[in-house]
Amino acid sequence: MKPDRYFYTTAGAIFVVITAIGFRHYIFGGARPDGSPIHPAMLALVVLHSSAIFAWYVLFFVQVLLISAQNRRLHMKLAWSVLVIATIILCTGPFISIRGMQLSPSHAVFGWPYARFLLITLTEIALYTVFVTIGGPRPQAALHSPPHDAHGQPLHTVRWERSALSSASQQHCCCSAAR
Amino acid sequence: MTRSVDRWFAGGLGAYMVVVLVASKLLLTDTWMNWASAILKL
Repeated sequence: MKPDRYFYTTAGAIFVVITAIGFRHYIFGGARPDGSPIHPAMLALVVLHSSAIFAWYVLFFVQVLLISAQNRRLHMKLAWSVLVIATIILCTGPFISIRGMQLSPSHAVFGWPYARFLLITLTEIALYTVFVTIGGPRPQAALHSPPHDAHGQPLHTVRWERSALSSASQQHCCCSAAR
Repeated sequence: MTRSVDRWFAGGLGAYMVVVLVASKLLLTDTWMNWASAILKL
């Protein structure tokens, strides 16, 4: 495995662990981070939203593993599930933020009244939308084509070099046998 | 390991930080609180 694959695989695993720890109250207990119960009117949406975000990080980890295993075809097919997960996150996010503020106007986040923190939440959702739109899956993404050098020529991959070595050794054997 | 800087990633991260920084300043203004009050009434 290449060093960058180790990096992304490790990062993906860390993301999943941290997200599972951070979201454990939401996903497994239906409660807020401090353990207090979520308003019943919000519970289903909050669990759906947090599950979608958790699925986002699980998907990242799985995608990295697929590339490490050189299963590019399944990686590209699975990438389309981003659209489903991102849609759930985007549809539930603003509603949860605004409804949460309406139900708990006195609630504070990081020392800010919820009404002020709402701007951060909505800004992050807007940025998420922009980044998913820019970096979302595409049918023939250039990143998934074989690597090319500055002149547009395909770079020599390990597989290519192996096959080249193999054919060279075969030619050497043939030449030796002919002699 | 890829040693060059991913310009798109760096640009995106920079833009993210700038926008969130601006938002963190705007949320302290009365203008935002007026808007938040309007959203609260939705």
